[in-house]
Amino acid sequence: MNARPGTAEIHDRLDRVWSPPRGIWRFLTAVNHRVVGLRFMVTAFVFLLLGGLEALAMRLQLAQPLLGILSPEAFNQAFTMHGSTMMFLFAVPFLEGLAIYLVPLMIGAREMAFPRLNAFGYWVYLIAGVSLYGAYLFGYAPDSGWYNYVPLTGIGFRPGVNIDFWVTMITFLEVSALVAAVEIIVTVMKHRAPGMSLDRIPVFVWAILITSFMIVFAMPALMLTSLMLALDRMAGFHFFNHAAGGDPLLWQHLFWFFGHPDVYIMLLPAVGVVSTVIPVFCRRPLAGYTLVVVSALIIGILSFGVWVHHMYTVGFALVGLSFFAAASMLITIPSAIQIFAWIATIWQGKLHAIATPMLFSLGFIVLFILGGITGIMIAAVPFNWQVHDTYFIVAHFHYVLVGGVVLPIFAAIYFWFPKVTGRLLDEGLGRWHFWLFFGGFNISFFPMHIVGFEGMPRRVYTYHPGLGWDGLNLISTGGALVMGAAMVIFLWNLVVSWRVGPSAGHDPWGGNTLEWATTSPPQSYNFLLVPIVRGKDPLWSEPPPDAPPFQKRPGWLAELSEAPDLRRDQIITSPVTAEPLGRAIMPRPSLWPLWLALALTVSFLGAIATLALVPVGLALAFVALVGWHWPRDEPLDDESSGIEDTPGNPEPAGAPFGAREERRPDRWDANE
Amino acid sequence: MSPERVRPDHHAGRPDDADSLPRQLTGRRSPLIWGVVLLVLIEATLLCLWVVSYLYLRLGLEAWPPPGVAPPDLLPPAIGQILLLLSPLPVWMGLRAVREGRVGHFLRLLPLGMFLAAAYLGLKIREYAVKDHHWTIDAYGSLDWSMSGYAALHVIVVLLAGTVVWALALGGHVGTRRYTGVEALLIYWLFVALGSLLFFGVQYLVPIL
Repeated sequence: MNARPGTAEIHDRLDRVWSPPRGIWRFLTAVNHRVVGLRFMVTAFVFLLLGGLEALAMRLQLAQPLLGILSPEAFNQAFTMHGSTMMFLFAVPFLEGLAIYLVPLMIGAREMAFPRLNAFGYWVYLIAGVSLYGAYLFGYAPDSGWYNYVPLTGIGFRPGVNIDFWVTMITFLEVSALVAAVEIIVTVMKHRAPGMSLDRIPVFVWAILITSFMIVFAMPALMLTSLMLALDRMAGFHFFNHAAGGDPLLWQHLFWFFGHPDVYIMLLPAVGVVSTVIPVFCRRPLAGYTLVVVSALIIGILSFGVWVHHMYTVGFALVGLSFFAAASMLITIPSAIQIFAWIATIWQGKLHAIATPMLFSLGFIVLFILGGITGIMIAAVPFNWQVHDTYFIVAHFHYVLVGGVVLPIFAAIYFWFPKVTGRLLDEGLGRWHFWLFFGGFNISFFPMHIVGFEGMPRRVYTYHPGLGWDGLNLISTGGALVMGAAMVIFLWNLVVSWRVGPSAGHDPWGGNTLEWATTSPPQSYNFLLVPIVRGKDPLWSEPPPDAPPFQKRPGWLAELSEAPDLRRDQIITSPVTAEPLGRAIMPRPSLWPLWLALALTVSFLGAIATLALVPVGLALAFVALVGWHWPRDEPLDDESSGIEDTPGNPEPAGAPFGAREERRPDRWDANE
Repeated sequence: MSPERVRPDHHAGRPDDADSLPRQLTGRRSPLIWGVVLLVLIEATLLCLWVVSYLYLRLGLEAWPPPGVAPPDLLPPAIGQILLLLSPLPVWMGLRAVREGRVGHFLRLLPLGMFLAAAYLGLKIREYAVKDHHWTIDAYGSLDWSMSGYAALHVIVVLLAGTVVWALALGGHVGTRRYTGVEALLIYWLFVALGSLLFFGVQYLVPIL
């Protein structure tokens, strides 16, 4: 047996295999999970800023009675685009991007299970988002709310293409969410590092895994109902036309069967973020790991049984409403378990100084509790009837979604920014960001509870003076401006720190999960050696908890030598105990994902112009799928086709489409 | 904090022999099969929601089909459905042949399955070519045409995928240890056959019950 190669030699070999191409091809063909994940996050952040600007425009319009900053039509487009942006283009894609970036690192893998699917999901997301905003730019933005209720959105009430853009692009967008969910599930179940049994998966990864299963079951409802509305509008179908035997309430059922789980699809990853950040800063493992995971699972299941609480006022029998009220209130139990677990972790930990990620996590707990309390209130049918469609509802869901999702996203950015860039965000600016955002949020949204009690309906572009709403609306607008100032500081902090921020080192927080075991930013292959996991907190499994990176602590890692014969190898492990089963050869960069996304764009966007373009796009998509799946590697040595008259393997195609990988003589094998 | 210990049941093999791990995993060990199963799960969810939508709209009306519309003729679609249900059988037999190293056998069996599926498609087209109750008339017509269209589209996907897998096998990319593509095709084919059976039950039996 030869001597084992040194660290530098292994690095050179792995880097040669895993490095992406340079130049424009890198942009068009990248499939690496970190590149794609970062693209998701940056794009989603841009949409967050756009959605925020729409919110500011609406708040300025509502600052005083009878203002004329936005026309009724412009206001309708603004609130529709604001809701659609925050729900579809920001929150879910950002968290998907975070998961795509972090999950392989946290489970000790080198890549996602299906890297090309990963890239395809991003292109679909980008095209759908840009198309929606392109329509907005030219005055064709959807204007009937992010929930797009029929019959208002039927062709009879909303002729023109505004709603068509929503229907086609949101359906297209969900393809992106679904492929991300599939690859996350397979990655977590098949590519965890040896030893990372189910009871050792990091809480963030558990949260993402549960979320992905929720996407699998929830998104088809939105796709189906959007497809039905598209057929109603574009091809003369009658699913929602009451006069022809259809039923508008079918839309609400299907939409909210997706819509309520969607809230938890956003919330659970945020819970995962907070459950990761708090233990690190409290210097102790998460209290009640199993309870937190089981609670997330219960929340995921229960969230599919509460959709009718969005429809209390449509006239269902009280017995049915009681069931959904009980189910809605039941969710508070697992949510409370999680909150108590965080409090217990803080209580028993050693919280010395509160860094910005921890600050946002604490802010999350406060706002999430407040949003949860109003959630219990509106789960009660009589109360819900009173405040339905008032600003109380606006206040409630912003406490849940901004407090429960946006704040943890900020915590995640401050926490993992050093991993992505190798630099720290400025702590001082971070504190300004937190306090202005937290304060501005409460100034803006707490008065909405009161103005809602006083009867102000949501979705109105203005109101008359003398109704008692003037002062509270002015305060809300002031709070929104403060939040805007906080975002300017945050943006400045991001840009400056990314360029000239202080070096973070590889593990600035003394983290407990595997992503902190590699360099910051990670190398092209993530991990030099495949880690073997020996505990829930792999980097803390041996004291001291704030020890330096893994190279100096060989105790927790054992070398699992790979054979880098210039194919991208990744370990496959068993789903429960994570025992090594085999190796998967991961694909190289490719243009096919972009081709497939563009082909489907021809179908989806083309349908708005003429349905004849749908089969054209599908034919192009078929070409892409064949090219995508056609193998270009030589068969491996241990294969036998079993066919006598095999005409030989086709010549591999060249880059950029192909995944040509040559077998080179410099194969390194530890056993040779 | 006390260090946790590796349980003896973990990575029972030698930790440093990754080179000896196989590169061709099949069945539930293969990530590709997991991906296909999840795709089927997504599509099955959509299919179930479609059936629920059908029943929801049906329960909202007293007469189904609407007055003046004849209930669907059962025989031709039933024959087509039986053919579609039989169609995965040759693929399954072909998969067994591949595992035993007889790829040539697979190359002959797969077209038989595709022929059965294509026959279903032909009967479907024949049935709808003469229908005068179109999707533009009412919700019943909308459901009838859209569900049939959805089922037919999936059979077309199966035929296209079958053609690609057949070409792969012909090109020497299917072998005794490399047949996950065939397994994936069979899983999806089974889903299409069983899913269309669910649609058949709703579309053709509910109107006459």
